[in-house]
Amino acid sequence: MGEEGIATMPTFSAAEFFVQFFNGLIIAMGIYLIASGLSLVFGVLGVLNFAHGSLYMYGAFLVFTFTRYVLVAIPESFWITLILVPALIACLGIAVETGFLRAIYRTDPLYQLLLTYGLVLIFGDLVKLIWGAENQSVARPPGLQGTVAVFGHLFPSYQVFVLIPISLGAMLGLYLFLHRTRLGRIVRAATADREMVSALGINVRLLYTGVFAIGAYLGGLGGAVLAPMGALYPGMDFDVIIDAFIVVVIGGLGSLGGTVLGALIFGELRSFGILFVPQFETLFIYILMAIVLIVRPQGLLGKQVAGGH
Amino acid sequence: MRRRAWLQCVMIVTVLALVTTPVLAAEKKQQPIKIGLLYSLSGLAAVYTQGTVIGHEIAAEEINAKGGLLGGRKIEFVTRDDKLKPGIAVNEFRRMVTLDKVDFVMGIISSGVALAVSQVAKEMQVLFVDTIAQTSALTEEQGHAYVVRTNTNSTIIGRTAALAAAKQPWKTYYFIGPDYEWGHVVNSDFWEFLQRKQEGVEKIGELWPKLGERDFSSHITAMLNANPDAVFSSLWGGDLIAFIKQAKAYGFFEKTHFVSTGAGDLDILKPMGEEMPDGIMATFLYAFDMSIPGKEEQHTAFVTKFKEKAGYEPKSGDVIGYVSTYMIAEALEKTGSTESEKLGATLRGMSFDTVLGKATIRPFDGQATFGYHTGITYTNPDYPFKRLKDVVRAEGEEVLHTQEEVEKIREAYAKKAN
Repeated sequence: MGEEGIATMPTFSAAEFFVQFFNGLIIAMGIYLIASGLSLVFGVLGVLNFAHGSLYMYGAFLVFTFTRYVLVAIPESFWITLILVPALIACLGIAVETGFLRAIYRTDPLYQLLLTYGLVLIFGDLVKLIWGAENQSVARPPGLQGTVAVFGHLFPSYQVFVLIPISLGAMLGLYLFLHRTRLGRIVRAATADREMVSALGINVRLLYTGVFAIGAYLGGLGGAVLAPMGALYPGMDFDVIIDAFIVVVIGGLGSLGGTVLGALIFGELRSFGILFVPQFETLFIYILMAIVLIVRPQGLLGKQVAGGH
Repeated sequence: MRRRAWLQCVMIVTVLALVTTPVLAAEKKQQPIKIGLLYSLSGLAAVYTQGTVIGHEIAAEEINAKGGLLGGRKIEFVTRDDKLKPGIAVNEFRRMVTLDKVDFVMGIISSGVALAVSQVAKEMQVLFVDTIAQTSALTEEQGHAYVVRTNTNSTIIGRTAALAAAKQPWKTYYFIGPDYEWGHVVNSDFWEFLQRKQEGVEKIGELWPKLGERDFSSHITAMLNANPDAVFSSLWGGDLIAFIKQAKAYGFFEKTHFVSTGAGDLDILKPMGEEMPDGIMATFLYAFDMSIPGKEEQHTAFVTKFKEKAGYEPKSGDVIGYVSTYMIAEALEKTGSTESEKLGATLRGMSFDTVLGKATIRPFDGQATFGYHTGITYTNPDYPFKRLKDVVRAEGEEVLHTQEEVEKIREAYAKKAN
């Protein structure tokens, strides 16, 4: 590092800024899909679900299985899996919630962490048993393998036509659900005061299962949408969950607006970090997280947790 | 009282008899040669080590079927998991030596773990044959009498790529590599050698994404903006697959040339299938249909046996397990003993004729001189994945640090340590 000849700071044009900005947006949209489920589950259930990354990993691997082995003959197989796989992951989420999490809501949060971490290890080894330990790859759907011009600059068409619309759709869907439906209001009420909601005669058990299923759905959707963009391998769950945590911590645990903001900051910091200080591209996000934790521990848009554990 | 004393006597004799009989019986047969195999058998690295262990086993079966070594002694492996952690590896190494009574130890996939194990080997005076970990520091800066490597190293890999790249008219280079020991070592090996072999080359930038990066969009556009003649990459595994897929979507491979260590190995080519672009300059150690003159028959037999056991064609690490076992077997015969000190001394300076080609373990650093390859990816209609053409082989001797260079590196390291 630090060779002569590259020491002078290059200047950047407005066009390059736009390109890095849009790339930051792409990174943000990807991480938002995963972080939103994590944040929602924490907001309502109060459980920091380490295994959320596993749900993402299973979503990606299921897409691989369906497109490579089950629906080989169908050219539109990718689109079918995009609908099917998140639903399957939501079912898996229901099984996890009713089978494991339900038993420990009243215990110390430390036990919840241990449980979800244990699930990460179990899910991780199961992936190796089912799919093997080798790297796998999902092809991008036909017609979306090239680039498309956005304001005169070329970007991958898959990211522009699939990732960004689905991620925006998830954002809008969550907003409408939470703010425009009765059920959404109950969920928001539960975020604010769980005890009160159950005192009002609402079936909290069912509510928790439902919210966890939505969270799992988002995780599975993230895995399915991101699968064609990268490699599939055991351990991809760890790589993603750390980034998702950073996003949620910066934005505010349990705050969905905060998750949007956190994802945008995460994406743009990464993208412009690469442009200006490539040697330390990952450093800024950690510095920012540290500052946020010191100055505003509840996150940028997070509310102070009432009561406290 | 008396009766009890007598009973005790009978008991003791019986127990002694039970214990000693199998020992005596074993004494009559030949004692096996016990070799410790220390690999990361669980976790992420398992993908690479499962096949390596199978490679070791196939070689041992072949050798044992022919009557074993040193006048009929069979090879017996004691296999342990280091969980990719230096602390666990060091403990397992000690346990294998003191409890399992292994004669010496082979294995290790992680460079960091190998460096730790090597120190214990030195302290216990037990030979450590490094098979997969490839940092040059193990045999150079931190080399000693009880460590040898039966594989290529980071210098061979980086410099082989540099030799091939130097023949191209490319002048400006951008660098990308995973931000840890491996990425930095290989990138600097490549760059240092390229400058020596070609005049007027220029480094116009470098990027160090973290290991396990998912989104390379910004890296890709930052590099394309700089408009380099070529990009050198030491990314590997899932990171390399993700990078190539995303770069392809940006038209990266039409805009610049890509030189990649690792992209020529089957664990990248196979999962990528049709998605791998043509025209990438990629390095590799081994391909299952590679033919070394005079070794075709043995190699074909190995590939057949391996496919039967593992269910897939052998990859680089798998054939290293096989070849290493044969190299050690030859050295054992030549030494006439399993003593670490003698065996280590015999290995140094010994030449081998293997299915990977001829190689010598150099006397001054214990590093094997295996050749490495560079080729260009292309579509071969006979395979569902890309293969390599215009393959050029560089022998280890041509590219490895010379004795003089190694001594200088060691001096510099000793100065730094003081």
